[in-house]
Amino acid sequence: MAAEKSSIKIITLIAADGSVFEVEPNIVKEMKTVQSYIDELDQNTVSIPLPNVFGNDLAMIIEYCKKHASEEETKEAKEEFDFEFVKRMKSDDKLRLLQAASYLNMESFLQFMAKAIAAEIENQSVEFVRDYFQIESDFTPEEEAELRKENEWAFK
Amino acid sequence: MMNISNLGEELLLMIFNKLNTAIDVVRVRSVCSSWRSLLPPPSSSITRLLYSTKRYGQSFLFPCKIYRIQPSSSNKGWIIKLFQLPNSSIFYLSDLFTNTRIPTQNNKLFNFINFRVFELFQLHALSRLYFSFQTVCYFEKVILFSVEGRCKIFALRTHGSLEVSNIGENTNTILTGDDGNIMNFHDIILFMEQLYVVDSGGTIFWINPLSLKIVQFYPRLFCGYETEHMPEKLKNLVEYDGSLYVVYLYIDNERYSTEVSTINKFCVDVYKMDEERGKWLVVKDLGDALFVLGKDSNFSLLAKDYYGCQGNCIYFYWRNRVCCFSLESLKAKLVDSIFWPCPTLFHHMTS
Repeated sequence: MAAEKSSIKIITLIAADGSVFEVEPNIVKEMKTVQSYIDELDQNTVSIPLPNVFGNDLAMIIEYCKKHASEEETKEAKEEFDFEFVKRMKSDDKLRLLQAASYLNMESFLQFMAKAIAAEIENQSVEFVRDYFQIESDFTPEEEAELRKENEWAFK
Repeated sequence: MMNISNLGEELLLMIFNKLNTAIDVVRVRSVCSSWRSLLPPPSSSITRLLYSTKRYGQSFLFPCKIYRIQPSSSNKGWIIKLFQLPNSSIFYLSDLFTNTRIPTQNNKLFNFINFRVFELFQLHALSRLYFSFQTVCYFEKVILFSVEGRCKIFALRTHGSLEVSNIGENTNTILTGDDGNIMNFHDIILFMEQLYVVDSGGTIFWINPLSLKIVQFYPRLFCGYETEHMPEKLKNLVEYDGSLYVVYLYIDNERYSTEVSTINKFCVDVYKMDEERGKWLVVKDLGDALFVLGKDSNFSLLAKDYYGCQGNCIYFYWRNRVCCFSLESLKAKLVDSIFWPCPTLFHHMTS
């Protein structure tokens, strides 16, 4: 069984928009959803449809996995990469990538994206957070009053 | 496809768990009712630790926080320092340089729902009283430091000795040099998660938090050790942009005889370590940065983030006044209430 699995050379991932990505097996190790699919098959080539992930997002995830799976890269180089990786993402990219990470069951990438989103809402106003997540306030008047108290400093 | 606005509880909690401050938790709870029920309110209990010394008796260690509050429509804000009273939701707004209460805001509220609130840092100060804050005047600075799971208090006394004690214990150790003599310091700072002190000669030492031995960390900085008219110990440590700076505040001999008003006699030199060459550099320009030599800690800010602040300046407190020394004009001037937030932000309590 183990020998058969290692014989898989290339894995083909097919994104929601039909774009195709060919990757080496070590790249998808972090994607538990994909990995368990591969484990169930004993074929030399595998093609996996990912109907919940867009091509652009999948490209970014693969880029991240490649960098982090590499043994040649130093810890510092990986941190630098992470920093730049977050910097070039727009807000809704982050939310989509978080959902994709959850769907693909990628534990460390999921934590990484959660941290990036938390950093974006830190120190912001409530209105900013609502806009960011496209949420409307739905508080009852009682809750509103409670809320006002919580958002207050009373000075003596 | 997935819907962005509906992340699901599991993913939301994952994000919320990455938030670091209580104020961020309050904010998330104010977004909508489902978020509010998802995340419990931050714990508001304030712990005051007992700190006792043989000489001065008992006092209590109070946490306080420094925030930047900024209207969400603005790119500038104000800096405020808050003490929360134990077992209550009452706050003191206190002066950055003295810890005294700012009386004009008494019996008023500040509602921050439409503000951005940045928790900049948490400090500790010693109080005479348990139920309200009253400064203990013989201590300059207090730093809590955890080492091997134990929390230690490093308290710099006004006269310069450094007292160390374990939390919950009555015994103190006073830091001594290799010769067994008590060492005197001008300042203490937590920099890159390590403790450093500076002495009157401008030497920076690293404190080994376990053995409490001090180790010279940087070559001695020769700066005005013998100035005749030095009013106080005035070598200060400030962190800015990942580097340790020494701010040397003194009365210039030449200006002493020529200038009439005391404020004009002040001089400030700023030094920074050139790590590669192991040499001190004189810093002539801080750009947009300003250094605040505050009561419980020194810190750096960027002028662009705050109303009324001037970059390339050192703000310090001297004889009941806030002074601002410009590294450009090389002169100090008195300034008024620049760190006091705009009074119109505060509302009268209605009930």
